[in-house]
Amino acid sequence: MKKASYFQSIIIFAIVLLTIVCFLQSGFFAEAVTESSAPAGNPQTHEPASGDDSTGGLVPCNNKCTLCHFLIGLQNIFKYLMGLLFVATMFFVTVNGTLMMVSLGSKKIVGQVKTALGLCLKGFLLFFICWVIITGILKTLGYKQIGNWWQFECDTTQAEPPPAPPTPPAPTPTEKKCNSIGGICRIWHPTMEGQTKCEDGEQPREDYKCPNSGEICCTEKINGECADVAAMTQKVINNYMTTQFGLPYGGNVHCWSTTNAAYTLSGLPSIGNLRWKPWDGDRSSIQPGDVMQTSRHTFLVLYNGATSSAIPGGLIGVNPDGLTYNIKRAQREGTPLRIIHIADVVCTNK
Amino acid sequence: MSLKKIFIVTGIVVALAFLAIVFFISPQKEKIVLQEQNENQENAMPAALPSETESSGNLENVEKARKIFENISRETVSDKTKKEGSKRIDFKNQKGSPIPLSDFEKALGVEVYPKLREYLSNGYQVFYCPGMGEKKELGVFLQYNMEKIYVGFTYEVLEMMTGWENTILPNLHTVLFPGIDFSEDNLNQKIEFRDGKYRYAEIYLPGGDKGSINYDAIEYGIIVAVSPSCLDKVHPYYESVESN
Repeated sequence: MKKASYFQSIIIFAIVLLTIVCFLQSGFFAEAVTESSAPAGNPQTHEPASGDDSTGGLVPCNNKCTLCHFLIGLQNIFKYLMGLLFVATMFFVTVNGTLMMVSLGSKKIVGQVKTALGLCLKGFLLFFICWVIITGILKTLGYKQIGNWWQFECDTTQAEPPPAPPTPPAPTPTEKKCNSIGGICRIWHPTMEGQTKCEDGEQPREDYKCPNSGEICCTEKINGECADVAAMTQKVINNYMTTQFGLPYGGNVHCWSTTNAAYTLSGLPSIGNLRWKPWDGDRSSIQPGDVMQTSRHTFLVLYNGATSSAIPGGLIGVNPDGLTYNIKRAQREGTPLRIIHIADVVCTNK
Repeated sequence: MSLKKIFIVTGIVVALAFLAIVFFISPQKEKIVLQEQNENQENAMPAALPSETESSGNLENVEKARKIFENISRETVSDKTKKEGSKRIDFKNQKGSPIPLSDFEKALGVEVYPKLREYLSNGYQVFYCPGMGEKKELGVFLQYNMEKIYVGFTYEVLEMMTGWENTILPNLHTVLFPGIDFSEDNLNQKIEFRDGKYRYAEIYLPGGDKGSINYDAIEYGIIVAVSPSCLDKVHPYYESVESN
């Protein structure tokens, strides 16, 4: 009886020890995976257990949990159990082997050791057979990478807008800045009452703020009926940044499609149905929201001289110096530039 | 346990172990073969170029880059390349990760002009166009880090390139003219770049032959090649163009 209780306490102690070891191992493993994960800013395909919201636990998320995190959780549990199985098997084989050596031929202990070893091997064999069966089925079905069938890649990001590029920031509705719509801030003071606030060909836009007090925002006069051009420009650019920016170039995603999407998603007609005008060569006539085209390339004009960009083999993005580059490129290629002014489109639509 | 049972169990265990080994090894092999195929594959368009995050200074990367370039120099020009007009090669290591530009530089003794280097990402490709006979006209594409581009960069990069012109031959000769053994005098010859369709300079190769270096600063990077016709051929792969 004494020997039996001694044996049981060893087993209980071993199980507790193993659980602690495996939890430590799991934590260390999760940490290692997190460290090796791709940094933010890279294409958002994650290895499991990576991501900003990672907790290092079995389900690696706090608040921004997606279905992918759930799957990663299942995968981590599987990995954890697999680790536990190997460690437990090795441990019990060692413990039982040692017990057998020190049993001094005691039939009872030898019998218990044999039972324990048998159970150990049965458990391990069961796992092994299951693993072979699954691998075999996958192989038969034609899966190629079956060496790690329990691992998968999925997108842990939620359907959030892609990160905005460093420049140029699109103004939010609460921050209507004069320069965001290509306006000029002109000095005006109440004592100048009666004088025109802006110069000829310009119109005041009091809903857009200037950096200094005593200044008023002046934009090119378009048409009294087309005051919402700035809002539409903002909408088009926001749509480009939120739906097209970051898409991988190729197939149906290219310079024309992404520019067109920014227009159509804003409720404007397709750029294929709009009237292109030859660009007059006056750079100041190009406004954010306009679309330009050479014989081979189409781009959306963004703020501060930036344009949409589509890197072959890369991602849809923003070229901060795109306007200068594309004008130069058209000159180099000897092809005329055409333009669609967003102001014309909005006014025509009205 | 009877001897019969022991034999049966041993047989099953051996069979299972054999199956496990086969299933474990064969996918690994397929993976390696796929990787090699990808490396040798002619890219329909430039592959996704490496990010800034790769660690550099890896000896394995340096060795791998050297091997990839040796393969480029040795391989025969395929009919597909002849038909397409050029072949563009990504440099990836055993794991399939892009080899950083700094490792590529170390591998081939290349030195990119430091001022320009500041504005480059780790994205680059070596390309070649079929030349006379079975010769290859080589070139290299260096991709900008678009996050570092600023208003006015289009013009300033041209100044940077002008600054590189004096040393571009010694800096890039191992990539542009891999089979040619340049002497010190050959490498330090005075070369004068001129404006043409692309910026170009004629150079004297050992043995009295003439060659040229041509480059173009495009929207996403710099292309350098040994012939203007090769620049023409690779342009569509590196510039945004309308989809057909």
